[in-house]
Amino acid sequence: MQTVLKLLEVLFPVPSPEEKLKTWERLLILSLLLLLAASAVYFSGAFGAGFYWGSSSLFGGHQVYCPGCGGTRAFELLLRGNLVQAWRYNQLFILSLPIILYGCLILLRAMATGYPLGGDSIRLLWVWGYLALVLLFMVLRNIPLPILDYLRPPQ
Amino acid sequence: MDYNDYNQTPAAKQNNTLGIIGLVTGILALLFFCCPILGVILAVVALVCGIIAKGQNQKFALAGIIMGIIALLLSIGVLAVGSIIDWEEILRNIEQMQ
Repeated sequence: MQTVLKLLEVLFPVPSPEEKLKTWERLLILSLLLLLAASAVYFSGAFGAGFYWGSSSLFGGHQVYCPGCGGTRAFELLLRGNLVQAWRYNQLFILSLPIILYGCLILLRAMATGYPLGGDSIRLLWVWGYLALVLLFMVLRNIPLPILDYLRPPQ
Repeated sequence: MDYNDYNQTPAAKQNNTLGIIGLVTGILALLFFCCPILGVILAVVALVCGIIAKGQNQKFALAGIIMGIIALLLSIGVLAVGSIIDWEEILRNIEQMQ
């Protein structure tokens, strides 16, 4: 029982009154989470095909693959439980999903408990490294070489 | 460590919430810059949070501001290229000229 209580204390720490997040900060987190949830519903294809497939104006007009191209279809396939096909559409999106989910959970916890985000475990080098990876992914999937076809979403 | 240090209350956890929100929205804005409306919204949130966080000396404030500015420029650029400039017509005109 004590172990469970300790675990709950670690998972849902109670902030002291002076460190507790202000109401507007919690509302800001809530708005961000609602925006992400609305985007997830929008990209899941719940509104029907055609409404979401043309969302990338870079690919639509100029046949340039952005890092998110295929992400909508990957997300939709993932919701249907088809991980293999989802991976085929956007590898970076699938690799990023655990980080996105973890981030959402941390934000949800901060909003629910009012415990401030410290960010002690975040290293800026990782963030810039990840963005460099995103840029590299975009460059590679736009190089017209047959060996790089796998990085482009199937037509 | 001095004996008296044990009696002191622990320092309050540093609040970097706005800085982290700016950082997270900045990353998402850079990922979604080709979906201009979502990209612009996220970039503006990153920029505003980054600026407020900078005023409060929070961590990651500058990263949020930089990513917000880059994402905002990219989103506006994509929006302009995608909707204002008709590239297909320009290409057709070039072909006709040739």
